[in-house]
Amino acid sequence: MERNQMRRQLALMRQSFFDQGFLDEQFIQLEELQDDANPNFVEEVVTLYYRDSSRLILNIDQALERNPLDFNKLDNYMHQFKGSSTSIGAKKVKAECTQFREYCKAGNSEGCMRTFQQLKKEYAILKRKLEAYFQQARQAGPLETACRSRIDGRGQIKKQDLTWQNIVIDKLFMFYTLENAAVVLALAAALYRRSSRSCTLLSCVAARLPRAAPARERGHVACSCAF
Amino acid sequence: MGAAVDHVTPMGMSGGSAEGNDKSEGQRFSCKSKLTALVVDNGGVCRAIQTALLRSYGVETEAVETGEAAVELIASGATFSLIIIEMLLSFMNGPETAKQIRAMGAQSKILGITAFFDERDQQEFLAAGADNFIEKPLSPEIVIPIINELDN
Repeated sequence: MERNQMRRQLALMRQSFFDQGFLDEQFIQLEELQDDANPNFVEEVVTLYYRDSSRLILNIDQALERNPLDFNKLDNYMHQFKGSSTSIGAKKVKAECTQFREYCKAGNSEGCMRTFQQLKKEYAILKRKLEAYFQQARQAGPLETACRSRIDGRGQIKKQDLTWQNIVIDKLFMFYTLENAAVVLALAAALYRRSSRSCTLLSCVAARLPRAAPARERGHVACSCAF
Repeated sequence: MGAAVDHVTPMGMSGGSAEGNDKSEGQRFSCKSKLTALVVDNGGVCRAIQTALLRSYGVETEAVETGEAAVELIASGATFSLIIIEMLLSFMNGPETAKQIRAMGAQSKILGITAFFDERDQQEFLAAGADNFIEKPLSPEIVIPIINELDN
């Protein structure tokens, strides 16, 4: 129960990153690339981002101390910074990068320096949020990975789990809609009652909810399965 | 039972509405033939993400940091269905890399990629022999049509 609550909080935290504009859909792309073969992909890439970016920030800080500014060099640094920020979905940081580049092109030193201060702020805020998020994810435990372990990275049942129940369940859930949810779940439950492995049912159900589905929905489905 | 379940789209359904359906389609997608790719980018994060994305579609992917390394790899006989080259590399830039690769007779599809789209860069890259030029990030929307094209 404690865990479910943690995962609920985690999902809310994650959703807030999107709602408040810190992250964009590119971050979801990273999550989609995470699977059994790469169970910590997102955290690894984000960690790499912060490591590489800290060096870039140092270089840019030093370059901004020159007089006059070498706008070409600054532009090159920012090119790489924007590239990686875009790739992890760091929305606000990316916006500051774009702004910085505008000032570079215009040869506006003041603008560059001001924007870079803002950029560093956004960068630090996101870093704190993501660090807290990953830490909490670790504490909440790998529930989702366990659910998805039946399903390979391409959403298909892994060969070793091709029991007749799993095949039927898979077909059953193709017809799962809001209206017939109760029926589908009852059928699925009946299938598994024979093998009395309700946790298997739960994992199958959970695996079929889109990964973007909030924990609230997963919780509801889990409740309806628990008997 | 009878808990209220809000709108949920099962992963198996295609053509349904809802968020992320494209993503779940993308997740199931895989290339039909044996495809290979080379990522050329001086940023570790971009290399990691682009490589992972291509591999998730079944494309055998390698990554190098410089244009020089890419040219060397191809000169040594390696062939790739797709080569993705960043505009601004550490030494020899993207277009120059593409030019040298083409000069060696490589028939690969070359995709120029950049952090900041610029028309001059685009012209330079296309003139050097790239087939296309896009702004980061490398997304499924870009990759899947390319893979489909290479498959046929």
